[in-house]
Amino acid sequence: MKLFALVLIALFVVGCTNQPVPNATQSNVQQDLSSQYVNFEIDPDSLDLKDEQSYEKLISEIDKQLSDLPESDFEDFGEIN
Amino acid sequence: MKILVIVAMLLAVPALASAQSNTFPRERITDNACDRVNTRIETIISRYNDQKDRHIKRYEEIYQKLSSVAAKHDGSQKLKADLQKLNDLTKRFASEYTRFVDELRASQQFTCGKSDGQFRAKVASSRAILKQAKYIAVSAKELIRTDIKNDLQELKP
Repeated sequence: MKLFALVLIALFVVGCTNQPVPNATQSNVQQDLSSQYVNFEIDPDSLDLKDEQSYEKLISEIDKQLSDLPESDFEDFGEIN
Repeated sequence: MKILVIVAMLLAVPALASAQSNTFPRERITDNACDRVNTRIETIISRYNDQKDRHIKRYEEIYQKLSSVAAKHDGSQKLKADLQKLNDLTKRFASEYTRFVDELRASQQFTCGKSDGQFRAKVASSRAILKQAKYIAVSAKELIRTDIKNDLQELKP
């Protein structure tokens, strides 16, 4: 009887050691990419649109911001399987 | 002694059942496929998250800076109205994007051979929401590129 109980306990231990290991690869896919952002370099408070140079600088800055948003963003992700 | 045997049996039966289900070859193949699909979904979401953060950061930056410009110039009502449109589009985009991620994540509950039909339906639904989010993002970009830039030009003497 004792032997039977010991065998059952041994089987319990074996069963526990066969539990699946959590997938660790999913946790490291997130990255902080905020450092790569192009910051808006013009101080709007020092900007006067009556000044041609200021205006051109502002338009150029806006174009630079937009160039950071390519058409290819949010393209379909394709098949998952 | 009888109690010890009963306790040992209670412990052993579920543990054995679990161990068997994890070691049976076909089950193991399914588990690997589940892991692969789940990892792929997380990779997709991570990639789109980077894009979403970049877009929202750009829209908000342009909104804030140009709002300051508008506040300093007379006759900037049209610019202010278009900046409000940009703000609304940014919020709609963020909301739609969150809906996309939620829907794609919801598909993960069906990845392990539980329901292929429901998995496909969730993926298809998330795909449609992503398309809508992209449409809003393109609209915001177009608003800046055309209307807002024209508004700025009109403020010139």
